[in-house]
Amino acid sequence: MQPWFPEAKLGIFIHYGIYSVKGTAESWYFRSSRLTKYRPYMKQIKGFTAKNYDPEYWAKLFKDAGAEYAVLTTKHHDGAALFDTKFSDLSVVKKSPAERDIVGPYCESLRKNGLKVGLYFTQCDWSAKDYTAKTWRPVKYFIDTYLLNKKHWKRFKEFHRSQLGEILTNYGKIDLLWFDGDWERSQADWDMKGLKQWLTENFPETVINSRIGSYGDYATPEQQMPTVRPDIPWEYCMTINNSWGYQPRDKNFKTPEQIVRIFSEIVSMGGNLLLDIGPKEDGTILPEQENVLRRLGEFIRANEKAVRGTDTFDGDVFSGGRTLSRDGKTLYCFSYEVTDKTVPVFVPGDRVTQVVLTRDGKALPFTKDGDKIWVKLSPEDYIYGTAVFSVSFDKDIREEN
Amino acid sequence: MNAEQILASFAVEFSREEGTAYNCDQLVRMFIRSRRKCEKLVIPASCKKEEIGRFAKFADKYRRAFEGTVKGLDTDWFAGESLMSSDGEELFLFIFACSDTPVMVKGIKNKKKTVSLLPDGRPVSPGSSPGLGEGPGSLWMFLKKGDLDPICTVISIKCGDAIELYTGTGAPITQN
Repeated sequence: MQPWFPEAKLGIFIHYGIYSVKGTAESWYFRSSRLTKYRPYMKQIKGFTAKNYDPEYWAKLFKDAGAEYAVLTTKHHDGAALFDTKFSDLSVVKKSPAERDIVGPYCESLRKNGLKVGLYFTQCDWSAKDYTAKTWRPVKYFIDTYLLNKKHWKRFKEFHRSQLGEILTNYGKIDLLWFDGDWERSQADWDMKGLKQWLTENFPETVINSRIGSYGDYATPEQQMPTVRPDIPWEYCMTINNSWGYQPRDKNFKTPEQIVRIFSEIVSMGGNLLLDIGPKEDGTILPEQENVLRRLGEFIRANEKAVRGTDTFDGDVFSGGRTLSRDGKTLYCFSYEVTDKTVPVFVPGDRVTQVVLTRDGKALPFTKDGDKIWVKLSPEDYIYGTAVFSVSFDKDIREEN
Repeated sequence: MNAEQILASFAVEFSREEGTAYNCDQLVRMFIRSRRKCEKLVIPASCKKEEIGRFAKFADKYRRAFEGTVKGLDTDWFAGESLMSSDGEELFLFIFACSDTPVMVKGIKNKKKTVSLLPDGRPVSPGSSPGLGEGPGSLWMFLKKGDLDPICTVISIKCGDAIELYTGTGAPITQN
């Protein structure tokens, strides 16, 4: 695991593709009926213009959101690539009015703005003629697997590896590879072990997510916050409304208060948040999503000390979130209830040297009370419904716990 | 009942020793914690009668949340204070907020959820971030200032059956 990843805490997930033309569900739209829905879905590529695509604006926005990395869907299950591929005609470069490679400028802008570059690449491809799976074209799967010497699958794997090679070699160093769609065939069918070995040998600095059978570097819980911490590094991916890609009917946007809370809870549990946006087909980002990103950035910048360079801290010490500085001398408490009263922190009072508001170092009144302290908070101490305060100790608090 | 009788009904004891002069809000916090840990709350002699009286009135007003209740949710499900009815069918959340606040509980698996405010049962409309796959997502409740008790607001969540919690690490979604 590259050390930057568990320290990053926030990444931005970008579901950008041909599905944003009509605002359909990305790829899944036609899975229920290939007969009636596949053609209308794929026709969307004729409306994909990317005419206002401004990766520099994206990168600056992500930086402003407090993110350390971003992950762009280079190819979703529909098979339509956002990059110029020699191995298929199905790309926005060859088939859409955009006629341009989306991935290259994205990578350059991210690097220019000090962000790590992540690329999403799904293992499955529901447009590739040689793709067969138990859950997708089951009859073809049966025929190919058991009657035709697996020739289609062999060809598909060659195609898959070729496209993967393109995105990993044509755009400079890729910091993170985000696989998806590995569930339709067995690990052995995919040769996941061999794939991981190839990746490790050729791209040793690239972090690989979990959707490569059991060979990933970190876990990827999705849309369900863990209630039990994964035992390997992890990243929680989540939508801002209820859709990954652009879907204009979905107005159920989470508020900045909700996003700040979720982010704080994820950090308290030791994970990263990969927060998703779904740009429109022209490349513009919805104002509701942009607003959430900027507000989250305000919170992160103000509370950087509590968010990064800290560890989780188990123990029934505070009814809210908490992290601990690496030297164990500062406990950061995340209060989620906007209050004008005192809140208890269950740490030995005689060990506490000071309590300050993390964002500006303002001293907070507190009283020592044996096995706890009472900290006085005010509504103005809160940013988007969360106040973070730092409790300092004379020495590493873990020595007593 | 007077304050002492009310508190005696919750097995709260009074110490003859001086100690911290806790105010009502602090007594409420410690009371919830003591119920959670199945311990008795012992009130120091230095606490003011007026504060004890306010605390007793609060405990009586929200009697349902304290009588026979046990430990609620760990902070990985709810980052606040909570208690659970002994049959596991009603969850009580304690919210110490003084202005509009979103409340989030993770991973309640029961489909049906009735959310209301104590003591009068005023309904709270729950929002939700739906989970997908095996995860039930999160339950959000949006409290407005007018909903809030100046000491502590108590939310009841009933599911018509024992509350069942998601205890997973989360997972990729393979069906949309």
